[in-house]
Amino acid sequence: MQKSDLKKITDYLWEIPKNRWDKMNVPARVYADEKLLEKVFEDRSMGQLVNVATLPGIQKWALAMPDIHEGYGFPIGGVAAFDLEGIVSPGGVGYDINCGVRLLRSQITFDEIKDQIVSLMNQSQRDVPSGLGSRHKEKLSDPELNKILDNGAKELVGKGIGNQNDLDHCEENGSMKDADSGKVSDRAKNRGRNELGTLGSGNHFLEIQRVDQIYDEEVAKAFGIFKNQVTIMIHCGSRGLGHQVATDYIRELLKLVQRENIWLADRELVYAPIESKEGQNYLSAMRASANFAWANRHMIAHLVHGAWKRILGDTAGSLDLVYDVAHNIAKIEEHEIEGQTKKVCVHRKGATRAFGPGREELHSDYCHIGQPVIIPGTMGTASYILVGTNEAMKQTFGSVCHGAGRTMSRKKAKRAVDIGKLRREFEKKGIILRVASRGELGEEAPVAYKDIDNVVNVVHEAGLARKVARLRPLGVIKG
Amino acid sequence: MNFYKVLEHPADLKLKIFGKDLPELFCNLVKAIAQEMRDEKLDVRNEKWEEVEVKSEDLFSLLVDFASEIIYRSDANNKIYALCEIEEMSKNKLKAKISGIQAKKKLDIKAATYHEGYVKKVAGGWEAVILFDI
Repeated sequence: MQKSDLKKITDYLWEIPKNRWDKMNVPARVYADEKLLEKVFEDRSMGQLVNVATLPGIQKWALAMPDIHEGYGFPIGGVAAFDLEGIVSPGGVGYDINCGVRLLRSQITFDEIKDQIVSLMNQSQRDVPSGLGSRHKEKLSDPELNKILDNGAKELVGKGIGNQNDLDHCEENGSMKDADSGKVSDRAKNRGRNELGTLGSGNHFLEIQRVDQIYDEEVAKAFGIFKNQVTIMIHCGSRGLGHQVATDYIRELLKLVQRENIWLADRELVYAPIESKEGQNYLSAMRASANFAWANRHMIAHLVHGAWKRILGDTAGSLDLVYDVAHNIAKIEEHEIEGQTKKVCVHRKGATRAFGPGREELHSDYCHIGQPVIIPGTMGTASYILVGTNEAMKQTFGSVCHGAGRTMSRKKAKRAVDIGKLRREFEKKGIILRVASRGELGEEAPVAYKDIDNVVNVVHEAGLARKVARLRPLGVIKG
Repeated sequence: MNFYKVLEHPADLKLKIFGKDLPELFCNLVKAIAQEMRDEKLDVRNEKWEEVEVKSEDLFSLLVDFASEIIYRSDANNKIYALCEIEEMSKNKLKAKISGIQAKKKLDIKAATYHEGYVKKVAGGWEAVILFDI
């Protein structure tokens, strides 16, 4: 596939028409400017997007955000909605169910704690297990784990960990309805039993940041954000538990598809009708995994809060949740399709919900203004807070990008990056690094990713979400 | 010739595995996973074997499902499995024993995928391609 196969809709939107392949049920659309579009053709992600457009019951378009890159089955940065007579695809959610981002705001500025950032980093690293195989010593019993799976972060708040604000300012209030721990295998539970409150590895991180630029004063104020404020960002997901749930259901659904001889453009696009027993079982288990991920980020935030108090004392005030968003999830939502409000199953795989003002899913603190959209940058680069718009509701089922998006393989990045030079660059910028291994540092170096400023600008210019504030890293703990 | 090689992929881990026959191919898959997780030779003695049985719809699914089994045990038991013996095998079923040790990992393999892989007979033996989510 090449650029000439695409029709330009606007400066930031391109389309592969439905008639390009007779198996496509809808056109495929990608949000990108000319520069990012060049990157899109460096891998096979557009072919994967076209494959998504072949799935039964898909509505309007198969969509790709500007951070699109090659995955398996669905591309990463992909969004697709299916009518309720249509399908649900575990591959459209991915293996790290409800991988997502949580942003905490402090009440103080960088200048007030700049001499204590190192101590805060060290304490956070001690308190939050991070890195490969990071686990707590204590294992949750079956009844304890089942309650977390069924109720998510709400279960922890009920035990006095965190507060109501943590639920109000979380997508799905941190507790997705119709989750069923009974649909999660013992194997998945065994993988997650001692992983609640752990960061994991790969691109997951914990970052202490400073608000370095405000783009929209009014919205920033509504989100409790001000210039030079210290914020904390947590990026992780449902750990081994979610990976196993995806593995279990993809395997089970693939057997069904093979027995019924159903054509698939890619085996990882395997699906079940939403209303089928298999489809419902997957959705119940996926929601339980999503609840585990919300409880996980909630618990990490609680541990960070402990580190914060220990190092800075009570005078530094509390850390409050701005918002928590999921990146890998399937949800039944209402959207306008051909002039009618319709319930659809929206799959976001490496994409963030970005609801505009007026959506009843949003808490009254944000309903009048739109949802906070948290977009993490790559290690050492800026992250952004945006606000969802009604344009996103019309164009993308209320969705935007989830980060910068990889452009270079981990192997290539390791070869290309001079670790010593990279460390010196971070030091020059005053960023404190805590990374589990040298290899990891190379794999996650900014050069392996697209330019986050460019990606966020496309989302902003396309009107899908508006920039509110930019966050610069002060310290990064990589798993 | 090495028993496997890492192929380019923008985000995940794509491996090509070789073997003179199917049992060797499947055991080399176990060793390749161990090598990627650890990236150095492991001193694994066959002191404690674990039995593994997998049944799938076809040969490629059998490879992916076997890999999933190794990943699950590796994560749940916090081990790296580097020894493998195939006891019985057909195109959609296998019985094997594996042995591993508790060791610090350097790569978290989340899952084995069915994406675009294959198992095929080639001159001099068999080869397979499999993509892992990392």
